[in-house]
Amino acid sequence: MVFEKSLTAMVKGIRAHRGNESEYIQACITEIQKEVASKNMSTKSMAVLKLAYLTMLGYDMAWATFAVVEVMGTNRFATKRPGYLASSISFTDQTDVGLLTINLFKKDFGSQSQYESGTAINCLSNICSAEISRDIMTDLLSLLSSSRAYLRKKTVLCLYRIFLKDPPALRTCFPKLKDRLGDEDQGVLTATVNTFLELARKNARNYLSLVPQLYHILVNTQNNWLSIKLLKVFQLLSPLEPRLPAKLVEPLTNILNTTKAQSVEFEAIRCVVRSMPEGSAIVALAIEKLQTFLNSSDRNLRFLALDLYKEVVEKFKEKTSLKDLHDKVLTSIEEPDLTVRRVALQLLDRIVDPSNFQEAVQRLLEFSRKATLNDEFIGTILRMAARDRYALVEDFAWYLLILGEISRNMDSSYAATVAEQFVDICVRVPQVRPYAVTLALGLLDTPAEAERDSISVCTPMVAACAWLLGEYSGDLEKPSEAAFLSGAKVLLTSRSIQALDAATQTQCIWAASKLYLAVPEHAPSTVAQLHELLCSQLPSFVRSTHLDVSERARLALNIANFYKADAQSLQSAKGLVAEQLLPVKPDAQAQVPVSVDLDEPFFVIEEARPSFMPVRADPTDPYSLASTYKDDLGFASEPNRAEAPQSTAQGVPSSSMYYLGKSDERAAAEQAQEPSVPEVKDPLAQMRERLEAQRNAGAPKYQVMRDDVTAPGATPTPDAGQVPSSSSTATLPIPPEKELTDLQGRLWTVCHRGEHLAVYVCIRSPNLRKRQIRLELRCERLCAPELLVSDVALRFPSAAHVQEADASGRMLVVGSLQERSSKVKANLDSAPFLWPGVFDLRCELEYLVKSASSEAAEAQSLPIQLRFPATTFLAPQPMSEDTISDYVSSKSDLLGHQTAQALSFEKTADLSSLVGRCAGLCHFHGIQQAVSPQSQDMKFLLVGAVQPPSAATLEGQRAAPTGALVICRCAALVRPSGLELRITVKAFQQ
Amino acid sequence: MINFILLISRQGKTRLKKWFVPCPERDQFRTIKEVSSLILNRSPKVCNFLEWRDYKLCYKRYASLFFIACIEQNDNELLALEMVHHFVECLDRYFGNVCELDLIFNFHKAYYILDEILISGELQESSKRAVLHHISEQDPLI
Repeated sequence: MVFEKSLTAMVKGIRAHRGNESEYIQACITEIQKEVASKNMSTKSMAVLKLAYLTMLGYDMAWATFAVVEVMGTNRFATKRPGYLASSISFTDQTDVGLLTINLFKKDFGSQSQYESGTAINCLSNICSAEISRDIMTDLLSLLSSSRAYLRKKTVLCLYRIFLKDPPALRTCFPKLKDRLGDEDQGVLTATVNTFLELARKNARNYLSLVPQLYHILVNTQNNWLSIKLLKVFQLLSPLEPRLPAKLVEPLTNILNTTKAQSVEFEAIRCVVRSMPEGSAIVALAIEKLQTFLNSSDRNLRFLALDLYKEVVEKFKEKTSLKDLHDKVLTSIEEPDLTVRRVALQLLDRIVDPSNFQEAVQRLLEFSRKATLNDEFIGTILRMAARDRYALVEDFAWYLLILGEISRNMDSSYAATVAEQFVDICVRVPQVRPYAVTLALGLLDTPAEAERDSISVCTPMVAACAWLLGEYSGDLEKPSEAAFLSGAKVLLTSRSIQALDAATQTQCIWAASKLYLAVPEHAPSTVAQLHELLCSQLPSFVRSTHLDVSERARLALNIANFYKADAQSLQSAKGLVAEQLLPVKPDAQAQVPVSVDLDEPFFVIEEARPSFMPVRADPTDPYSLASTYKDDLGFASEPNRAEAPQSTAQGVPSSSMYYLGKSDERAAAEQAQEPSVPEVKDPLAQMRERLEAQRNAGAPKYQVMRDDVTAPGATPTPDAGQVPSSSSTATLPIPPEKELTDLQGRLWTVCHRGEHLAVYVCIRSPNLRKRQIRLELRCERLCAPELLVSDVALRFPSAAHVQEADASGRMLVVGSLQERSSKVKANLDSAPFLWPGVFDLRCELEYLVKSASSEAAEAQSLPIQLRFPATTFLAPQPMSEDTISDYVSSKSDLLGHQTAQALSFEKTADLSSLVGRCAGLCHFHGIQQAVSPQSQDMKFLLVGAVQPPSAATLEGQRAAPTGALVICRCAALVRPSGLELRITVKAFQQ
Repeated sequence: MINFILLISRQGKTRLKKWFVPCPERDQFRTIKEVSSLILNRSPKVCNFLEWRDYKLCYKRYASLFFIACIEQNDNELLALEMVHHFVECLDRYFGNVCELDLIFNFHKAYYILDEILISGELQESSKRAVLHHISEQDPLI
């Protein structure tokens, strides 16, 4: 007989052997191994139970799986139960002995005792696999309609786990499961709703059919658990069924107003926030309730409210209670709880606006000084500021100062981001540069440096400051001699610079050289000193072990040796660094279309046409596009600019599409600056005073260049879905529709002139929506008065469907034709006219002729042709110049053919409105392109889209390729004799 | 849906572990270690929810025991806490002023009670009386 230890004895033993428990437990396990092999089932069962206890302490029991199954199969509930317990603790769906359990489940499901079946179901929910599920599905189905609510409830809940393992089972069970929604037992009902909730989380659409039943339950239940589950289901369903939110208003309001359970109330608020449309009364009620949660003394509720507010702020734009929220969030940020703090920071990120941004940043900065883990705060500051290209920042000088303060923290993981923003702001905001350069100098030249001989800002910031100092030295406060000197000194002399990484050293060297190159213009008296400084300091960099530092230092040294200390010759070198830098999109290079194909000839040789001359700087031609952009950047007017005195403000000509700054504002900003107080030691404090002074003198207006420079020929990514409208192109003034209709009404053409009568036609604009085109027809008598012409009809080909036509065609004149008939309309189905070319529609003209003498009328039938101009069925295609050039470069196969024409006009005063009128009549979208301001020439681009394909076609019509466009460019050249208009049409076919 | 329930003592000892989603034992131990170190280190002043991997942990301390429920992102945290409390109340009524030692020596009873309250991670019985009734009916069978 094996010695048998009870569970209590074992637990007591473990507790008694504190210190060497594992030894004792090993001994126990050896014992259990013997007990498991015993024939006595209660011994075996106890052994399994003890093992189950030991697994909690971290001991493996995988070796005993077979014994567990054996114990599960015993007849007595008392011995069986530990087996089920152990298997649900330690088995998974992968356990191979799991298949042995199938018969046990079958047996126990049919047991007399509901507890035996219940225990089995509990275990099944844990260890079920697809194989087990397939074998016991019928047993489960019968359990679903068991007479015992206890078992129905367990089965319904267990089924969800089974569906996960064996998805086809859902189909089998669905009808019976759905019936459970009408179960009279509350527990079963809750369980069923629960299972449907989990199923709806996987695929809500499938359960829309249950809405009426679920709604009925929601309205009638008082059960909190059930209400919460239902509210969750409705959150999932209401986005899929537009009528649902309106239905839910009443029960939700009811719950919000009456429930005493906070979990139900919270769930109802969440349901309202997620499923109700903005602006409804119930949303206001829910937000009001949420407010009380936010002010609750329970920190769990506060956290949940904050978390939900994130969704509220995102979904509802109304800012009613935001002021209050803002304070609340700021206090929550201070909470020691990291979870709350993180949520609060995320929320702050969303609710901040320019009016409270400064306050928020100040608070964050304060917390970051106090907290040990302050990166979160700094990260939030940077993220908020950078959003939408600094949309929140109103005072850039202030923000730069903040960045300066942050950069004092040497080991922040955001150091690189701080430096990046520092530079980026200076590049984008010209007005802040004077302040920024002084700040940069201050940051580099801290007094602390003299004492500790180390720079007290983080390395990336050193590089950023160096770059700023070099690039915008012209913005240093005048007189800038001292600043130039100290700048160059700090960049070159401090020993700590040489301890920094190679890239930063290179930056510093080059910045110093740029100071030297700029010195004759801004601080002529210090040329000699700077030159001397360079010559004395650079050699130590030349000896640097970093190759690129050495190389850059050598280059700088050579420049210094070449120009010497001679201000005159140095003046000529300023061209080296004269070009201003603009913000460049990070992916600008990637946007340049790869258009150069080595096999492609550079110039497509076209047949010489007498009237054709190539148009200069054609924007639709990718090769010559560059020249237009050059014009935008002012290269065409380069000679003029060279004569004008150079100044940084004019570095970007105001005609450029990327220029946003105004030079007069900048001047105002400069004037507003006060000289700094030299006594203050800390440069940041100094800069802070300066900021104050600047503010007192009237805050400068900052303008941010939010556009990035993209490469020529690349399409700028449209911001916020808008087609970017650059200042250089303008949409042609297409006359209003009424004017066009009037014009069209005057354009009558003769389509038949015969022996007896003439037919005139006027073609109106097609109705794109109805796909119809209206023709107006008129007849005129030409024959002698003794002949009587009557009953004129026009018979259209069968494919061209005419609304007003009857069997004999469209009657133009009923009865006899007098001098001229009145206008007759015919609405033609325009769908079959697919081909954007001149098209002749063959019709038959039928009429009766009767001479005065003869009795009988003679029927006449003549073929006539209605001619539709090529542009009749085009549709104006609103595009910008850039999208057109994009189209031209990407869809060159659709623009394979080109025709050209030149016309001469008398000079007209308003050519653009004339072209606009033509474009309107011919269904084009027109834009006017910019040309250099000197010339009086004008350029226009007209775009029209061909009809989309349709099923019906007419004889002689073919479908055009999808997306094909017809592009016309017109160049109006001013000649002494008059105006020459050159029109080139590009399309997929002649 | 609850993914797992853990009862951890202040010393970091597991008193009950129940996974409702199949999980290999090795991962269970790793999770227990990770979760208990997370929760035991939280100050009593902070809130009872924390995000962990893709889940949320809702926990509450009763005397020397931490009751931890791991729920999914879109579950109701308050409901999870209520569920935990419901479990604690059932234990309390069953053992009569329950303490940690009761759960150590009768760990299987705690499991049986839990099995009457939760199945496949969902609440099946919200009435304490019904739970105790079912348990007391099963007790004589043992």
